[in-house]
Amino acid sequence: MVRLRVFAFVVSLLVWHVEFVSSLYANQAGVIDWHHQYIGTPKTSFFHKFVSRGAYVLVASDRNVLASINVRSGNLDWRQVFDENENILAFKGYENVAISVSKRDHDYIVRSWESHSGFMLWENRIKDVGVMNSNPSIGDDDAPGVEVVFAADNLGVLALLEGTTVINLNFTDGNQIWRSDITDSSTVLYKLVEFEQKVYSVGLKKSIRSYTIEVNTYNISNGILKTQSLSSKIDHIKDMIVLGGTTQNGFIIWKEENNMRVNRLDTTVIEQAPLEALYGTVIPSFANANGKLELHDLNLGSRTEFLVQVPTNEGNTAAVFKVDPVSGRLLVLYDFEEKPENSVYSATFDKSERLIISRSRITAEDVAKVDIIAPGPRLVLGSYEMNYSLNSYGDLKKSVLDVDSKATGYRMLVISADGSMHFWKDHEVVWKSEESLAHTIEAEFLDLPERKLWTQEVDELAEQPEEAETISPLARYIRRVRTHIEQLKDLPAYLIAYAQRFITGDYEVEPIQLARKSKISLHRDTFGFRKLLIFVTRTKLIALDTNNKGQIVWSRYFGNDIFEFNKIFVVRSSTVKYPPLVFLKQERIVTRLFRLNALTGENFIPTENKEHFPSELSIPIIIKRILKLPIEEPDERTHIIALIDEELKARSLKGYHVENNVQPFDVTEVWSFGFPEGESIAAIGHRPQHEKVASLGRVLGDRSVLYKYLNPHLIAVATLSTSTNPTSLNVYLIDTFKGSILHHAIHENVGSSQPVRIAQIENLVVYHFWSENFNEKGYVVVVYELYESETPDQRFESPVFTSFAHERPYVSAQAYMFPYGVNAIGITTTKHGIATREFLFALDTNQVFGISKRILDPRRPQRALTSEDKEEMLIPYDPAIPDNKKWVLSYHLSIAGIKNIITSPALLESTSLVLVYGLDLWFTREAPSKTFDVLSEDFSKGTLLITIFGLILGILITKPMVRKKKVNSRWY
Amino acid sequence: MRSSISLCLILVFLSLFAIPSICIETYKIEGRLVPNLSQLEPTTKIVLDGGKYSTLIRKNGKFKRKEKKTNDLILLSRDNVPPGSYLLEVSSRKFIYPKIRIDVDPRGVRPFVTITGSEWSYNGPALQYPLELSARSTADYFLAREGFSITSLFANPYIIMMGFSVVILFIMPKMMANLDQDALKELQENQAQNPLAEMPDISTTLANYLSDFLVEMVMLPRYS
Repeated sequence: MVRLRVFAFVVSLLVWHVEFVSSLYANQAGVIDWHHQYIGTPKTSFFHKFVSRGAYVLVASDRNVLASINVRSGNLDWRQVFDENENILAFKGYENVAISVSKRDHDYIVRSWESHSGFMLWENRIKDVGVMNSNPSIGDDDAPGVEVVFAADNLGVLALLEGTTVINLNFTDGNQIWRSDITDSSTVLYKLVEFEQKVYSVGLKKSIRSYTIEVNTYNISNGILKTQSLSSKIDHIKDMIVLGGTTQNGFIIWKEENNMRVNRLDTTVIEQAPLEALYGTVIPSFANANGKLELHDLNLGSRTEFLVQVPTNEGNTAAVFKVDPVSGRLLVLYDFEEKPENSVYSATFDKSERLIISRSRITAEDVAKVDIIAPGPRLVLGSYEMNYSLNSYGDLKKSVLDVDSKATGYRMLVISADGSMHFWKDHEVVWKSEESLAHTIEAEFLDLPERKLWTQEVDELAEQPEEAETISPLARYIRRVRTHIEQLKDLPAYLIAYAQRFITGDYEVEPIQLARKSKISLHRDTFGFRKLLIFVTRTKLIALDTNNKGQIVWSRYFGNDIFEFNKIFVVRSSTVKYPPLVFLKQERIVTRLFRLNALTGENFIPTENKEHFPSELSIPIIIKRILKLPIEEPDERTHIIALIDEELKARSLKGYHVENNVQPFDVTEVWSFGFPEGESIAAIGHRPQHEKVASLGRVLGDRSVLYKYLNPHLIAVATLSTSTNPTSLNVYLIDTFKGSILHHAIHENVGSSQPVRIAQIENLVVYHFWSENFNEKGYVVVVYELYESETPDQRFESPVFTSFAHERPYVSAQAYMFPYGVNAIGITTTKHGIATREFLFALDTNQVFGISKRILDPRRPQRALTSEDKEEMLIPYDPAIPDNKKWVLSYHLSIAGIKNIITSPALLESTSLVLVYGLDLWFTREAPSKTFDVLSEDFSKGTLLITIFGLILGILITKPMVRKKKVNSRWY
Repeated sequence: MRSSISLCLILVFLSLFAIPSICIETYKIEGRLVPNLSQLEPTTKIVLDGGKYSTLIRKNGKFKRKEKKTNDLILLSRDNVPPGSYLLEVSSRKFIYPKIRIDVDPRGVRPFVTITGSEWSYNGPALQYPLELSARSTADYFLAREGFSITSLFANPYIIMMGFSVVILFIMPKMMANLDQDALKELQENQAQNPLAEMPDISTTLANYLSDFLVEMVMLPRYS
């Protein structure tokens, strides 16, 4: 007992003695940390050329981000991240302004942005859209008819919302000029066209079995309405497109039975072309057509060219059509040949208004082919082969073509099936961006194997005694010598690297790695800073290296849209000889499980035990819960995964017990815990599965010890009771083993629209919420510390901890005003848990704020410090956590959309690896008690060496002089 | 001066818009952030009550075109705010802004200074409306690295100690030498009278003690 106390005291002295402010110097920024900015998969994107700054791609993405990307570097010029519940439905540019339309709850928000800076110019919230209409959806698209059109003479921004409402907003300030709602519930509007002071909205009206086209005409200055129906029969919205407008007449093109029909807007004339004529005669490649024709709008503004695509017997083909603006007749411009691969088309026009179309397809496993064609003169302008990995990115989905106006070249933004962006110029890949990481579902740290254990030596070391007996001593000796010779090859490189490292003092670089930079080997570094980060996105698995600025080590696309991943486990960390494994779960209709080698991403097939669990497995049931059990299977040293197909409800907590020893196991409900009526779970704290507790108690100033309450079954649950007004927050500490409440706290007057965040580690619970009672208004963070007893040196009577005992912890708590809203809370983890904990808060300003446990400490005294408090090194209580910018770990970076913060220990006790993910990724190393186990950066090894050498030199020079003098003094 | 007058005019102009619409009891909070636009980030947000209502800052493009030399005007504006008392925060990574309490009721929109940790019922000093919020300071995320300086070197206690011993070593003998014969004599007499001088020398005592101890050690086995 005494020894423990002394040890604990020494440890706490060691750690607490260091300053609690951990912050950066300006030149350290970006050295140990790296930041990847993402925007998500583009929904709409267009090129925008600025007079002085060159071309940018403006993008609206499915993660509700607007961004401007520099086409030369792929860097983000500016980015605006919308809230998660605000979907961007339309984005369009005009001169130096871009208009976005987004939907939040039931309101539509139209915003105007300055294209070159990303500043918002105005916003207008449009309410009660579609109230009159019961919103029938015809197309498969979730949002019918959202469209933005700019009136030619700069009068206004016309927007079509929800397929029912057309509004005209002032271009300069966003004020509404007029608004027109459709009262007829059977009509849905799809397109908006403006021409000569008139606005046309084209919609479909439901008749008995099909749809008829309906055109509404508005006067641009006052919105007076005229409705006109066209005699037509359309099966699906995809059979109709609307082209033209602005500088020329608008046209409606649709497919009706076996004809293509064209109507010039504002007239009732319908031109007709029979489809049979197209097949074989006009377009030779359509002869093999065996499916429906698909009409594609090429998004060419007021141009009237469009694309018709059709599947054929041996693949697919397409043709470019044009509506002649004068006669209103259909013309065929170009016939793409039949190709077996799926093709993606995009079009643009060059300086001389010549139409240019690209066709891109994947021709081989790692080759994508791009053909650039000018359909008018039937010229092939270019045919390029690009490097492309089908295995990592999947098929091509979409492309946006642009002609470089300065140099005659063609550049293209390509979006692949996994959601990534690729930027191609002529035959080179200029940049690509792994946008699937913006959809990260879960991430895991993976320890890399040690280099030593990964060579031949291991074969010898891991040998079983029986195995060793079968090999003759001579053979074993030869093998040993061979291993040594093998290792000898690395010696010169090692020596050079060692000398280099000795001089520079940079121990973070592994000596052998330094020597052979070219080869990327996946091995742990000296301090364990290098790990793999494994990300699961909806359809993809990506492994990043924590060193090398988060470079992608491998990625694998599981090309199936039906399935979505939702769980990942590291079932085996690197041990001797065995590669680390990860385990994945996908589900929709059936559950699919994968087991992969985490170093390569390939399916893992165990070499020894062939009847082992297969690396890919489908189970025809939907698994509700999946858990990693803390048990290792002896043969392969993998953790066992438990699958539970029982429905677990969200309104209550339940405890289950696994019975039987035969598969499938039964689970029986042991306890259930229903929260009172009106309470819903707002947040649940999870204790990390593997946590190291350095000391069992907290040493006080008088050398007595408060013993920590370390219940492994403790979880903290926060609920919001919406039945009471104003809302109150309940925090429960529950023993999950028997379902009993160990502690219950109520906070009244809590904001219901702001989230509650909770984090838990060791005997600590931290939660954050918005409070608005009469006294205060602001964010509050509360910290709990659980002890076995209130009085020091007192422990529970039983020497063994059991949940069945009726012992309750003593909860020491304190609340602080917090300067920011919080999106996630993380806690640093270190190898042995000796370093002071630091709480990491993801702020709503897109930053990461680190607060030492010393600041968030429930023992901070609310009185003048006594000498004992001073000895315990407590800081006097202050109601507010200071808004100290020096505590912002992520300095001025903007880490958007943070969802989670995960931490992992390094080999150094002082250091914890921190990964922040969500939309962006940010990785850093944090030393909450400063790097007490490494020499400081300021320590100059060179100076020390020079001083020592200088002294030696001095001695060598003065020694003979002194001797001579001595001899002389004796002689004379 | 001319620009400030025109600014006031604009504020008056804006306040006309702040008149609540009659049918729905909602209000508009308007104001201006002080460091000019070129320094602010486009992602700067105005947040009411921790995210209940929030909006991006807005660049007034129309105004910029009319008068070229004045600073860009930024409105912090938020539609649809029902009556109540709110905490307004400016979420900026570059500047630190004070938190403002805003009371919205039929009498209008009234901003007050607020201090974190103080009671909500206590109104701080009232501010003008439309708001003109100036940043308290720029946010500095980095520690300043202390460069080498002579003064910090001399402040070091070790250096001071060394300096002192150097002074004793080199200057004292010279001082002694410079003293005239009478003064030296006096000093020696003083030293003789000084009781400290009669104290036995520590080193000799210790040496004696040790030698005695050693003798004992050597002799001990003989007695046993």
